[in-house]
Amino acid sequence: MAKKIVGSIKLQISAGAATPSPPVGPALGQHGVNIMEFCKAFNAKTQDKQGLIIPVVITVYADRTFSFITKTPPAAVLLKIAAGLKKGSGEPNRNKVGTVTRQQVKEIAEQKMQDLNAFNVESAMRMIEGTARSMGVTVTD
Amino acid sequence: MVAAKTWIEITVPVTSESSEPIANYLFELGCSGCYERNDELVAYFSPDQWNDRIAAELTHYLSELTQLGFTDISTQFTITSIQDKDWNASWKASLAPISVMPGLIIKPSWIDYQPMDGDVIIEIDPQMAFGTGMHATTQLMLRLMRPLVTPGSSVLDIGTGSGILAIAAAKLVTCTVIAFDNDPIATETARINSRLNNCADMIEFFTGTTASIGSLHFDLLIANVNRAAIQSMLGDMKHLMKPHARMVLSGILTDEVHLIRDALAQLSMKIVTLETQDEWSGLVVTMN
Repeated sequence: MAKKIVGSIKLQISAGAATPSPPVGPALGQHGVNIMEFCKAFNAKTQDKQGLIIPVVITVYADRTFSFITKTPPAAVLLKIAAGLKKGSGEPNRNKVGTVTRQQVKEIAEQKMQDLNAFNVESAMRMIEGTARSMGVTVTD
Repeated sequence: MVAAKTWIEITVPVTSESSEPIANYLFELGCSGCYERNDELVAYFSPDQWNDRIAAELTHYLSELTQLGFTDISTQFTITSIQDKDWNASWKASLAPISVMPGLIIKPSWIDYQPMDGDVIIEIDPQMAFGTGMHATTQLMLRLMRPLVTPGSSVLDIGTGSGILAIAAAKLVTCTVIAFDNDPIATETARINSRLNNCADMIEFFTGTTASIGSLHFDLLIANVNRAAIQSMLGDMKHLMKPHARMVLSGILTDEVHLIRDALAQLSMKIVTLETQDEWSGLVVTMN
């Protein structure tokens, strides 16, 4: 019998560094989830990705148990790596801070396909390009 | 008592299109993490990471997104100061005594329990530190270490968290226990728990690392941390063992045990007992 789902929580936190403090505490506490057990499991699962921001989706069940899946790093993080940037632009409309090639966008789209709500690589690429635009990163051919 | 920390909570309206760019920008401004709540992104900053200039930069960034063609962007966001607290409160309310093995019971202090003759009761109130007795790795550790804690033995608890394992050792037999954690909040929590269990005089807690131990050697080393931390500390841990000492290790996912086994082999050590619970493993380790 499938467990009854009573909630879903989407978090973004640093790999290997979950603690019961915010955002984990307030996000999970309101669902009555064992925060410390989540922290331990998340840190164990992501300990080799330290330094990366990891999106994680936690599913909470009626019996107070939970499960979680970690996602691929955000497209913005992958774009910064591809463009060799530490940060995106705070003024992305007027101040462009880097470039990535369309091939790099395709590679990121393929890497992110499993986590994106996209029918095919082309539509995933359009999403990645939108994120690039929001960071002041220009896509070149 | 450790003073409660204050956090700055920023709540920004988002759409499915703008959520990721805004989350990324919040991280670039220094937020420690965020979560989605309905159509909002809730992010947290330490007070020293947030000021009027950062707020203005966020407003400016949101207006830039609108100019770039992102729809339904609001430049209005809320700023709230919140106190760190026991976020586990609702979970806490659902706790009950746990019998880890015959004669070894863990319970929160607010729950009454009538012990049988010979029962060892450990009282742990879940706070801001790992080790409440509910996690499989804690239960594995307790079951594996129990027969190895002998009267008069010396025990080192590495990454003590709530202090539950050190307290169990001290309550099972008369032994000397040193326990440490690199997190001062955990060390303080462990001290409080040792007083709650009337064994504070048997355990020396400190905040530090294996390097802080000096030239002491132990009959039993216990560590319930994670695989990467254990791997990085194994060499140092070996040097803290007496010739016939043992280690009890957990916090290791079962499908990663081979990594620890390989690391042990390089140090002329071996796994003599392996138990599993859920997806976790607990190991007893000796010299070859």
